[in-house]
Amino acid sequence: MSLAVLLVLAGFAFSQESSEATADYARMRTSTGQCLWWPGNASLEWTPHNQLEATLPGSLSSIQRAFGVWQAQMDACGSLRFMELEATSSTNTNYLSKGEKENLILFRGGDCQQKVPATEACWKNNDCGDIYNCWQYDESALAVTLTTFRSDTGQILNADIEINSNYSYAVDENVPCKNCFFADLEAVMVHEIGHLLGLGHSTKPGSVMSPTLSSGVVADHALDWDSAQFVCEAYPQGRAAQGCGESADLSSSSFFQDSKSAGCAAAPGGTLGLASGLVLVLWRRLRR
Amino acid sequence: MWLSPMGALCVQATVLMALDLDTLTQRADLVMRAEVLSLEAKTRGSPGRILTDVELRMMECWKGSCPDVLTAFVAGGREGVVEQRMSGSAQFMPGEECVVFLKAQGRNRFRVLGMAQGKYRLEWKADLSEPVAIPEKIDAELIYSDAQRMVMPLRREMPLSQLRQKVRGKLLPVDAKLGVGGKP
Repeated sequence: MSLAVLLVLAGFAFSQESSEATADYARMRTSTGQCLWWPGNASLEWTPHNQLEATLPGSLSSIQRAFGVWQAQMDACGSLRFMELEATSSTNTNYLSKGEKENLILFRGGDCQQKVPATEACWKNNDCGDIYNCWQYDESALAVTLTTFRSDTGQILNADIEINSNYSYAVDENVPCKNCFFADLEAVMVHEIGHLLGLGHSTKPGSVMSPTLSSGVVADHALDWDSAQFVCEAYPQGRAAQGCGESADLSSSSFFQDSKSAGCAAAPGGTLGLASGLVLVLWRRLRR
Repeated sequence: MWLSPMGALCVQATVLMALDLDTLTQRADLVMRAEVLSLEAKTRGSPGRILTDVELRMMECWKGSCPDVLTAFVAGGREGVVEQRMSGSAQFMPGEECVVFLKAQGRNRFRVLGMAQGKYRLEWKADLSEPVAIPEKIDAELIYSDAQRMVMPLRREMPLSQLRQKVRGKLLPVDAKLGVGGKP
């Protein structure tokens, strides 16, 4: 049976240019060379901050649409289910090894430099943003994602996305941004969620994972073929999430991101991921 | 505690406004040529937040009052098997030489301005008498204005002396730029 037939049978949502085509995407890696992955066949929960809409009306639906873009591909050939949890008032973007892992998405505004005295200990700890709920990072950053993962396996443990509300964002392509330099929030979030899943940048024109973005509204937020293929190959339906096999030789590499190569092996924690997903489902049923 | 050889990792997502050399120079509190003495990653403050301290030895000071040795920090690092990254951050390796644009953050703390945009790695090439300043690779999505798109790339490789001249040229008073007699 040809690859094309298999993909059609699997409900592959993306139009195939050629059954021989090889996807060209890059996966993100740990310092030990492991590809990053979430446990497959499970829910990937994310938590919106409860002030998203108050900060930027329409932002939550933009973020939901961005998750929807990836979910459509997951439904077609992948194994993760994005699950939006109840909005939270928490502003902590740390990885809490003993507590709740929220995968929080929030806006932060104002400038911590202006808001927080230089003598505060939070500067040394780099958590002024958490404590004072202000933007503590570089002023040129529109959004940052702090991701925590196991360096030995590549399993992602937590990822929080902070969006700098000192910039303006377009949330609806029908409502042009007035008098501002702005970024298309849905386009930014489609890109961010790609990283959240472990997908790296692409040099291919038109990719949602392109490392550059122009100011203004982006008309089409659909996944490019290569990014869609990443979903199918890294998170195959009914199977464990896929790692990258042997670690690459990183000693001479300035970046640990490399192009996808054939022959991925199951992630070391893939079975564990499946098991933990089942435990999660069971736990939820028991709670009802 | 694990000493992190942060050999320029590439992970995660950050979206940055693209900064040109002029903007970096204007916004930085310190600009200096430096050698990386050491790196140390550790959890601080809130649980689960890893930071890497980068100890820098000043070799030349181009802007501001640079101490002989200072500590800059970058978000992320590795402690045991837990690793944390904020993409777009500058990455350092012990022993490397670089030019860094630094911004004060808190007391006696500095971060790299523009994240990785504020770092040039210095590399000696066999046929040259001075190092070449190479812009740090940026693992982040850059947003360019239409005007910036016309002059891409904003940061390019150049001899150290040229970079020094460009940075210091931006810092000269207006009358000094105009030259003797006040005319261009």
